[in-house]
Amino acid sequence: MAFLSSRAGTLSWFFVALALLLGSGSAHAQSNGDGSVYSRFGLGSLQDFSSSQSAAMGRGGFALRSLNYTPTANPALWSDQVFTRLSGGAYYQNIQSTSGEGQSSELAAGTLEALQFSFPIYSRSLGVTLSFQPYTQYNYRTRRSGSLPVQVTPDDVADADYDVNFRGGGGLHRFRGGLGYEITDALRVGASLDVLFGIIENQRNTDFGQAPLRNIRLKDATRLSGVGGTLGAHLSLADVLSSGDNLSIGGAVSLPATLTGDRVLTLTESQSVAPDTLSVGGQSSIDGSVSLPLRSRFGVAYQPNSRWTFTADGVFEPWSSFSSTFSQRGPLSRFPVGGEQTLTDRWRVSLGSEVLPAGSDQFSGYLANVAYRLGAYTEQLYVQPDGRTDVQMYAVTAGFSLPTSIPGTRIDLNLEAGTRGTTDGTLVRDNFYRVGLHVNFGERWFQERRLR
Amino acid sequence: MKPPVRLAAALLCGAVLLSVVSCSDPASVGTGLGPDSLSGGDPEIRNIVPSSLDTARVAPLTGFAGSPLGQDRSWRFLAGQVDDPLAGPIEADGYIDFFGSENRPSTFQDLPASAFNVELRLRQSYLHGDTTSTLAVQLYDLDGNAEMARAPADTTFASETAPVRSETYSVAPTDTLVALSLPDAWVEEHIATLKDSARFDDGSFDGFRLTTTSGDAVVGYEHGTATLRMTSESDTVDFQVEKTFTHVERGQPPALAEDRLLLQDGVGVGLSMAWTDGGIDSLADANVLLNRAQISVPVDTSLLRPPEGSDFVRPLPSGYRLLATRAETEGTPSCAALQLFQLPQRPGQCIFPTVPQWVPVAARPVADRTFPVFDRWFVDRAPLSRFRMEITARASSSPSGRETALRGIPSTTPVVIRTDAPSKEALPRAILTVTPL
Repeated sequence: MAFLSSRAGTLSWFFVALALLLGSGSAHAQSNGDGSVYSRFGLGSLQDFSSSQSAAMGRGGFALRSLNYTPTANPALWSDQVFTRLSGGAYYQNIQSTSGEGQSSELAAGTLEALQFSFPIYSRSLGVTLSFQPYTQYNYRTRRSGSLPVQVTPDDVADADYDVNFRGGGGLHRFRGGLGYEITDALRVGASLDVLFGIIENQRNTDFGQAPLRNIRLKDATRLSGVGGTLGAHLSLADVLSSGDNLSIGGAVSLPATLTGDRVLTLTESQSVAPDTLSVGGQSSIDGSVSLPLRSRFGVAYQPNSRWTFTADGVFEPWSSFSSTFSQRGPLSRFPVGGEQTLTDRWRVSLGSEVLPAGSDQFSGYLANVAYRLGAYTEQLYVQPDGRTDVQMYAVTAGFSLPTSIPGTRIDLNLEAGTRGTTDGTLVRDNFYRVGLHVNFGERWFQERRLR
Repeated sequence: MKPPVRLAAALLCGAVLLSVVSCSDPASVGTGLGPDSLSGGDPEIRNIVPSSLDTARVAPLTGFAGSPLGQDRSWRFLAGQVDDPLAGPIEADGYIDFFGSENRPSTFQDLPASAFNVELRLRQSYLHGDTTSTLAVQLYDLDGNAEMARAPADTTFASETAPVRSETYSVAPTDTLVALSLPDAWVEEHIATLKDSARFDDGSFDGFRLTTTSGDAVVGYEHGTATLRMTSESDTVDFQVEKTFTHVERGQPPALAEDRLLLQDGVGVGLSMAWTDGGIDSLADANVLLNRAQISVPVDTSLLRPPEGSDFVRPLPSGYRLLATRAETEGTPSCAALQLFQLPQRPGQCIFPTVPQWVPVAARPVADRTFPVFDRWFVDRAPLSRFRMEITARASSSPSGRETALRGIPSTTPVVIRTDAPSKEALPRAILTVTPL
């Protein structure tokens, strides 16, 4: 009974806090703060969260086995489950954006990174994982100011100052569910069904402040949804370079998918009035579809002993094959913005390491049981806004994984800093940092306890 | 059980991370990025000149019946004639009638008609014309009861063919108080009524018509202070005004330049405007959204002021009124739905409240009342088909919005409107602030 009471108390705390976190997440699902102007192109900034461990190790770890995490990137790794696991995380991001003309802006966003639920059907053999996380984020924000002369009396011409605010909102989300299965001690495979859905919004608001002119809030919203799938494989080799070491090789491929949907243009006169749908080309909405390319991931992880882990990973996505059937009508901008020629192939290379000073000695001190992680990556973005210049991103990552009194449960604090883009031409440079917090809660649920 | 504080705190911190998004300070970074750079959203001002501009005559209501006290003190009636170099000859005949009185001194009953002096006393409140001229005024008895209240200026009421006095009264236009003494014969004729009648509506006395046979000025007299004073050696009785009316006519005005139109108060010559050439419709169809709408009818005030040193006085306009006719299509909203006033005498006529600060240089309705009209025009179709600007003299320099929709007090003020000019800002126009999609 004491055990049940303990578990109930733990769970109630967990779910109360999780509900709060989810509440915040849903509130910001469509407008979760402000992000890079590069998110305006394509389908938005691609989100690549796999696990909080991966995020601190250069956003790789596609071959990294762990009992404390369920990396969503590779379904083959889902076979390695002992605990029923519920995890969630969020991050705060700050971007200092600079243009070639020396203008700068500061943008901040708080974003739900992922929610995951996984459990073993057969411990360390067959596992199930369900996850919900952003697939893209469409959250650019920029502003232009001007003034309009308004003659208010015969002798008084007043300047009606206005701002034209450009803002992106929403993005695509992915719900993924699948199985991982251990075929042999060395080989694992996995597969998942991916449901993608979301709304991508472009807003252009002409705001006059206190001046007696009607504000114009124009929004085009593209609603998309579709289904895809991911296949993964993992090979684990022991005693490769020395006794007791382990070398893992893993990869996953998300198959090309087609998302269908429609676009509507709406006009809002004020915050209190429901928006009017504007007719575009005689139609209230435009139907279309986009085809997503495959996403391939490949990684290597080497664990010389129970203390150290090293990873090296790569990502490749041929976005140059992306296509869209959304034709431009009337005042609607192209979708994606700039057309298909602003997309290019995406790749990323990352390195990561982790040290757990205690190794397998769980009776060491608290700090010795903290996992310290470090990583770095470089990425070529899949968007090429000017149609010719590749946009590179460089970042370093770090993290601390804090053990808790609940076995199988860890709290991860992740940090990331990097730069993206250049100030050449019309491009901008983003210097950003992120602070992420993740809770990985694991307990033995639904499993019969045996006396040994 | 001790709650897992560390775990709960972490989750709460995660929620806080999602909430801390208020630190953004966006600038114009990245607006020029890419082939579909962020553009548009900048409002523009479009001046749309009416496709038709002409004068149209609608006689104003120059009759008034009301209390001599309170707000009605500002009402006036006109009499005189003027040959305005700008507007041409104008003639105004004034009509006035009085209440009887129940309170007369008892001594009146015993006195003969010859013991009384009766005079019409008028206080000047308006002048249009040559201040040095002299008006030759004649008074006529009205023949029958005249329904002056709310009568339009082109109405005439029957009067005796012979004036009450064969000689004309000489009146200086600048005299602030005019007293026209009635002849003994008139007093003799009306002595019974003057001495006894509590009311004058028994047919024995129906009021006067004031007209001029010569002179060069139209003079306005206060309605509220006009009295018919009956005096004996020892006592005085003032009969108070009951109603007044002004009949206005004009002769052939001098020719103006082709690009100008003459409007004239009193006779009711106003400006008729219509945007029927599709200028606004095509703008509405051009994927633009309306931020603000205004109508402006500029007045060429340079022609209104007489030469310096001249003895000629021409009052400047003290108010304008803007009316519009509802479109005759099914589903056209009411004036109230368009946030406009409705003219009871002219069904289907809506009135815009105007901004008094623009007088006399322009007639401008209140912008937030113009917006619903053009907004509906943009979204659906024109709810109003024809617009009219007219001169409406005001006693107050800062009338309320509702007061600017009321009829004006009688005047003969002219106004000149330009119909062609190098700059649209000198022309009547709709000023539309729009944002292209």
